Amino acid sequence: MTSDEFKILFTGPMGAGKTTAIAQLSDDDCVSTDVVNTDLEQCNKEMTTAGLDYGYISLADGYGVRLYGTPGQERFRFMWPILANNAAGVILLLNGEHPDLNDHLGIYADAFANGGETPLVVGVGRLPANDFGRVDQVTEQLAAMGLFVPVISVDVREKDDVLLLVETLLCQIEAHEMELMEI
Amino acid sequence: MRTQRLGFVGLGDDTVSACLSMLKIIDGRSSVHWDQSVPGEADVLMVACDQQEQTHQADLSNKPCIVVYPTTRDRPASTFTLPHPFRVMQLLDVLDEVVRTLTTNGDPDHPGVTPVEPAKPGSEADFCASLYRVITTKTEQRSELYCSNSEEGQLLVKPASHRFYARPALLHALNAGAVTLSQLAPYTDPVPEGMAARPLFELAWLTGANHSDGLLPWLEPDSQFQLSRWPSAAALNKSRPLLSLCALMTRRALGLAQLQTLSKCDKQTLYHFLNACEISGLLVSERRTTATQPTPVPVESQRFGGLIRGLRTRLGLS
Repeated sequence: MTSDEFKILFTGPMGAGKTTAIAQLSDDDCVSTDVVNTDLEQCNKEMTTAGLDYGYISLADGYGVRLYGTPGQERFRFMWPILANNAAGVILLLNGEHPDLNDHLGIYADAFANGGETPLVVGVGRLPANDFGRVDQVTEQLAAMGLFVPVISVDVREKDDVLLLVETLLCQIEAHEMELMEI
Repeated sequence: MRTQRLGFVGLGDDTVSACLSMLKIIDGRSSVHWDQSVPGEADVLMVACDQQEQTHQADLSNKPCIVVYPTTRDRPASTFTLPHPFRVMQLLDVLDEVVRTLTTNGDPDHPGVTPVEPAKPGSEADFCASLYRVITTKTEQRSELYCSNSEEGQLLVKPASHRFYARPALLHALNAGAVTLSQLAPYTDPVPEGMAARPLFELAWLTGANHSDGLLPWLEPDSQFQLSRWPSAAALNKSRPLLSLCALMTRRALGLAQLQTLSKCDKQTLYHFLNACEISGLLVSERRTTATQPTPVPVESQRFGGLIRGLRTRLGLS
C-alpha cells in the first residue's frame, strides 16, 4: 500500500453482509471470490466468499481507499492477518440473529481489535427494529474484553447504514491518530 | 423559599467544609434553603455513624438525623443515611428526602422542622436530577423500575438495562421537546404492553437540552472527562461532532477546551452532550492532576488527514 491510499477492512462471519457493504461503497463492481456455499448449516445462502472481497473508492488527485473483505469461513483464517496488515481500521459485521453471535464476536474481536489498538466499529445486522438488547449484549461482551467501541444496529442493504459505519470508523481513526501523534 | 438549619455532630472538619460548599451549590435546587447552625438549634442533624450515642446524651434525639457512614462499612439501620465520601447529588437527595418525609408525616414528631411546599412537580431539573440519582444509586439499593408522569402518559426507567419505556405519543412529545416530566419514583408493576424500549442515553439527551447553557452544577469545568462506554449510536443522530466526542473520550480523559477543539463541536452541544452522558451514568470526570496537559495534534496534521477528508467528500459525509 502506498502513502496515498489507505485500507479499510470488513470482517465477520459468513452471512454478516461484508460483500454487500463493500458493494455499497465501491466505485465499480467489487471483486469477489464467491464460490458455492457448502456450509449451509452455518449460513443458508447460495454463494460465499472463499478468498477475499475487494473494492476501491477513488479520491481526487489519484488518492484512493481500498476496501477488503475477509472470507467468512473460519477455515480461511490464514487470510486474516494478511488482509489486516496495514489496515487503518476494521468494520466488524455480525449476524444478530445467529445463535452463535457471542462466539462469533469473541473470535473476530480477538483476531482484529489488536487489544484495542486498531480502530474498530461493530455493526450488528438482521435485528428487529428497536431490539437494543442484542446491541447491549454485544457492547457488554466487548467491554468485558476491555474494548470500548461503538456497536451499531445496521442493515447493510441500506447505504446510509454502511455510511454511518464508515463515518464512525473515521472518527475512531482520527481519535487514534491524534493519540499516536501527540506532541 | 423556607430556610432549614443543619447541624453537624462528630464529622471531620474536611467533611463539614465539603458539605457546606455543596450546600452552596445546591442552593436553589433543593426545596428549601439550608444554613449551618450549632446542633442544639438545628432542625436536622448530620451525624457521624460512630457518634449517634452522643446525640442521645446531648438530648438531640428528637431531631431528624442523617447518619454519615464510610463506604467501607455497611449501611446503618437509620431512616436517613449518607455514604462518605458523597457527591453533591447524594447530599441533595437525602436532604430532599428528609424534607419530604417530614412534610408527609405532618411533622408531629419533629416540631423543629417547618413544613415546606413539596418540590415543584414536573420541572425539568427535577426530572434530570432524579434520573441521575436513579442511575447512580448502587444496584442493591435501587428498584428495578422507576416511573415518571406527564400529560402524555407514563415513562418508565429500567436502570439495570440502560433502557426507558414510553408509548409513541410520549416519545413523539419528547422528541419535540414538548413534555414536562415529574421526578422518578419507584414503580412495582411490570412494564405495560405497548410501551417501546429505548436507550437511556436517548432520554438523557432529549431531557438534557435545557441544561446546555452550561455544565450541570456538580460537574467541574476544569475536570478531564472520559466515557465509560459508547452511548447508543441511535441517539447520536449520525452527528459527526458527537461521534468524534465519543471516539475521543472513550480513549482517554480530555478537558473542555481540548474536546471542543478536536471535535469541532460548539460549546452548547458539548455541554449538552456531557450533561446527557453524566445523567445517563456514562461520564467519568476527574480533576486535573498535572499542570500541563498533552496537546493533541489537530486532524489536519495527521497522516490520514487528507485521505479522510477526501473520503468524506467522496461519500457525501462532509
